[in-house]
Amino acid sequence: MADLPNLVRIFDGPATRELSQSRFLPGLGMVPDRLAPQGLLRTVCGYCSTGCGLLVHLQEGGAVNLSPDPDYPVNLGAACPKGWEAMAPLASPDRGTVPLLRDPSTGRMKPVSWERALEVFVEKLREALSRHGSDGAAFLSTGQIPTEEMLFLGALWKFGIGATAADSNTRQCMATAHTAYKDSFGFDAPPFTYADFEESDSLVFVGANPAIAHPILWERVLKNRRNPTIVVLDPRRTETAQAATRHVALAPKSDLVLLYALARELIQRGRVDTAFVEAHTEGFASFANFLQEFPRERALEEAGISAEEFAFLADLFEPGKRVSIWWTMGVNQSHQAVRTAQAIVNLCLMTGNIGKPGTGPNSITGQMNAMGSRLFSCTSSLPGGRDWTNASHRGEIAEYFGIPASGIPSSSGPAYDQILSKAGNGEMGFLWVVATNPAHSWIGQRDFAQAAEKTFLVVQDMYPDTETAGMADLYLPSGGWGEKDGSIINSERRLGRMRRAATPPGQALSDLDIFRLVARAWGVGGRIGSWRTAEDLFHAMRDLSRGRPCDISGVENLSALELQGGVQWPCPEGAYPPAKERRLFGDGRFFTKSGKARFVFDPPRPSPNALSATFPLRMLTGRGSSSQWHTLTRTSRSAVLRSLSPADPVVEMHPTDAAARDLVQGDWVRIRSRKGVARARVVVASTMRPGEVFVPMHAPDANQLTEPVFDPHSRQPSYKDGAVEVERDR
Amino acid sequence: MKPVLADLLGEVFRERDAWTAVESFSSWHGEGHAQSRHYEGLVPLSTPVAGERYAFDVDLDRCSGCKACVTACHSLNGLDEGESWRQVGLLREPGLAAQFTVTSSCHHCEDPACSNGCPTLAYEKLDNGIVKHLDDQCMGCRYCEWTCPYGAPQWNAERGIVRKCDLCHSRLREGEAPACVQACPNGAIAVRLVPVQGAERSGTMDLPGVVEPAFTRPSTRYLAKDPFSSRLRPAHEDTPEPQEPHIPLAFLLVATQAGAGLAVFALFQNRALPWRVSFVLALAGIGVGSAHLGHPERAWKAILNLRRSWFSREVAGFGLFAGLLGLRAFGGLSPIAVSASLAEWNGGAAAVVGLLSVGASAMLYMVTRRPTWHHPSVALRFASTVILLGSATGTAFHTPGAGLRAVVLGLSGQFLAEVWSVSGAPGAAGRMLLVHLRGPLALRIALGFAGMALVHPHPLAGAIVLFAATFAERILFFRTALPARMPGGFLG
Repeated sequence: MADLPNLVRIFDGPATRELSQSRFLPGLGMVPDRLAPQGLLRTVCGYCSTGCGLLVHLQEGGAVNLSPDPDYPVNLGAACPKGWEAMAPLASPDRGTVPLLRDPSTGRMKPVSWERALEVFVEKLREALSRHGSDGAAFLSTGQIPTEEMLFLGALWKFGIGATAADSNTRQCMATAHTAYKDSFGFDAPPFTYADFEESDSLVFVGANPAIAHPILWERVLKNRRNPTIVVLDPRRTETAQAATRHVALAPKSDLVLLYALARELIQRGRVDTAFVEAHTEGFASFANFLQEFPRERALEEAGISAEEFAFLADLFEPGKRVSIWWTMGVNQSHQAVRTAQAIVNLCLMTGNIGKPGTGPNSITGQMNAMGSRLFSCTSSLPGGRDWTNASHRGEIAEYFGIPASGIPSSSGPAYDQILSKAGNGEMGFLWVVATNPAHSWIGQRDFAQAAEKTFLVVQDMYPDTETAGMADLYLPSGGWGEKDGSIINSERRLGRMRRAATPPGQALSDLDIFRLVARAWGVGGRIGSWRTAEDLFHAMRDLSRGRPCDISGVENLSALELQGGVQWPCPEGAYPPAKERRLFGDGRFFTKSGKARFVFDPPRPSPNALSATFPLRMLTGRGSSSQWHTLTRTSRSAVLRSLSPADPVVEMHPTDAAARDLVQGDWVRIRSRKGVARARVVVASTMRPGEVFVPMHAPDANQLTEPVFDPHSRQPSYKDGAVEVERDR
Repeated sequence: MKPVLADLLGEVFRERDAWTAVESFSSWHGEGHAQSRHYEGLVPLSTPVAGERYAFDVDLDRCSGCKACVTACHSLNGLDEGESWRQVGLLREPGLAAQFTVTSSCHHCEDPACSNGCPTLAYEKLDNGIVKHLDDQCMGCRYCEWTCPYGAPQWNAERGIVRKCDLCHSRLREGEAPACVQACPNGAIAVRLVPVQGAERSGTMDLPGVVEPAFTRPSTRYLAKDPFSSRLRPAHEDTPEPQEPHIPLAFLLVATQAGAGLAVFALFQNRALPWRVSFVLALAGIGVGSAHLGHPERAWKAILNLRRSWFSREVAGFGLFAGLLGLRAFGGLSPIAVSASLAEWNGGAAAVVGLLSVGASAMLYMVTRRPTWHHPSVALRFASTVILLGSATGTAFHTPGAGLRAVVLGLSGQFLAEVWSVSGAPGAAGRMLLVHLRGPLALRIALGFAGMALVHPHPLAGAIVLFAATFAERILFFRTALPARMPGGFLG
């Protein structure tokens, strides 16, 4: 009888137990019984450069769940939605499982064996190099694979195969910071550690929206207990700007003038740290002289800000206050990007805001391993951040690889845009795209499509359905993050260990294994031919870094990285285990020959993408949400992530611009530029300045609209400077 | 060269496949719940004593809108693909830049509308304040999705049941923070112990565009440094999207209302056929209506909440209605002679129960806070339908009292009710009807007039067309029923 109520009302049963939870492992909290872990694997996230630590929950069969690593010094137990869902893209049914070759008779992709795929690869590559010379073939790689694989690919290509053209998609995000730091400090050396977020009195974010783009770094900002003043310089009132103490909505591309005028104002106010400038920098006098042309009024007019806003910015640099300036793509992607980044560096140098807690001109990186690419991918630098143009650097590398120094080119070769224009002009026969999606992401998409058309295109990716893989002649299925071992370098120079938690599906192989096979198929021997594991490559990285600013020879192996929760470079022999958080330049010594930092500057230039009566709106692009990553190759495979952003492409515009075009929220529109057309739905947002529209970069046709303009020093594309018109889609 | 490559291929795959997860098992371990130091102060140190309740506190100034809480709820609770019990929306001020992101899940109300409306008693308000959904009790009618004014219950189509936030009560029992609290990088979500008396914490849920807290007395408290501007609106309001058509329910409503109407007209005539048609309509309505249940085998539980749920009352009512109709329609066939007066009483009872059940139907919709529903327009709409379809079918059977005049009255009532219902959310519902649902709306109006025109020349055809017109009207009734909810985002 006692059971009778339970027949009518069931409190417990299979559906209820489906959600029951228990504690399974020491340190880990309650997790679903359905996903009971037998072990935990510590790894770092594979999306952005924050480099968060994650714990993968493992059963014997493989990964079942994931949670943030509570002990990792970067993220302190937190993760953004992409990190939480990092395993979902691996399990997607859309994964590539066999190599595919385009059948010339039908134009369709057909499965082939790895033997056949490699045979065709080698044949087409040989053909291209013999027809067009050593720069007749190029690889375009990524910031999304471990450094070990980057080194393998670069060394294989340039020192094994002897091809000279190669670039990485760090060109799209970090080339500017790289060039700026290298010119100013003598080495591509971001000086900060994340603790600086917590130790600043004033944080200035220039063209950066960490609340959305780097949510876990924003967490670190909110952990600041010094009651900081947070200022955001951005044309848009972004999520970060809304949460900041002060938002200064400056006109797009007016940042350089504003930064110069601020520098001049600080000189006039006597805020220069003369002792530091004299002891540790060079070129200040001519910089000060150059600044004569940047009176406050010029900045007010060009940036469209008030005198009060300008004074507020200058007031931040009070003596004794720690000021840190942080930038991302708003600065890096511009026609005068490098000088803008260096204007930030200059402000910090002249006020002595460097090398001390809570200070620094700090570049927040984009992709999870853009830093690894900058130092080891053999694209813009020789391994170890060495210079292609430096004969002794070339000698060191030649000796390491046991090849003649003459076999090493004396320049980094053509940059991304130059590779694509050569390919588009028929001067190249072979393009190898690894773990990136330029058919979507490259500025002025059509240039990539044209290059793909004119070359034999090999695409090595997790998915055969990306925009780029869709154009491929040969597709090689590769393992993704979570399916391979290695290390990455995050924004604060921290090498973190990435570990394998799953096996690639079908016949897919890790990129490292694919590089081994290509090396063997080409007949590359020697050191490169002997590389077998990520550990082998990590040892090569140690050797190649020895004596360089990025020296990591003190880190014995990948496990030593993991043990410390990551290690920031430098960590030379004898320095292990290092302190958890370290910044550079505390001693005022820079990596230039003189040991002094340089003031680098140039007059501002107007944007080449002029607005016109036909295209009167300035188009900005950027990250749309915290749940989307770049071209959505991975994040679109998670149903939860998909639900966190609008299903339709959007364009944000100011109410006055919407009213002038008789548009209301949600209307479908056509966005037109000199280059192309895209469809989107209107989001009327007073977070925009009048006359400007914002298009999230994740939309597949956003780059139908952008116009190829590049910074002359970094060759980084200027994505945030379009000229468009928006009209109702009828 | 080739054999060498084949060797390496073999080696590469051997190495790849030799890997097992087991070798990585010890990559990390900690003590206790290592995460707990990151949420210190965000959960109570003790479990509730008598007179205390758990409740969420949300600090809107600390929410950066990153949505980690949504994914953490999904992952740490082992939910199905795409499922999460938390959502993040946006409050924005048109013309100005002020915005708040708003994270929400179940508010664990003191007077939970989900529980009050649930016909199967699949909700339990626990002593600690948590409103727990009984997954094994749920028959999948989805009525709680309508009654909850915050959109907390989530339909899981694969499992055929609703599931929702249980405030991670098994975590709280162990002194652990709920998944969302653990996951928020900025400590914006906390769980507090509050006295039962203050559990509704009146005023703290007065968010723009959200149902007034007096309705269900939610326990969540939203905190912000500055008071909300009166111009803040939820971002989802600007782009209303048509809702599900609920075709089986539309049919259930139309058929039972036609059946009840015909039963009334059948009283004026001593013929079995109208009763039989009415019986078939009622039975078909009930049959098709129960097709929408996720677990039809649990349909018998639908009458468990007669005390509070109009859903239970509707089910019981129509069940009795069909029984009485069956008796009246086919009683004459039984060997036991049924006296005429008994048949009259039987028919009268059937008609009265039918009308009362239609009333229960109307109440079922009116008690929700859907702006196009809680209006007396629902009562007018259903009553007009009883008159319209009762008289239209009655005309086909030459029933006294039925005829064009009654048809015109019923149809006018329906049209009036439709306009009245739109006035519950004029901008949104109007925009939906005129933009997204133009075609169906035109069809519904055309069918209405065509049916009316047919009533005299071809009464049977007229009745059928008017039935179809009302079916179309009822699908629009569901499609325009904008939910009461917490703030959503742009374009949804």
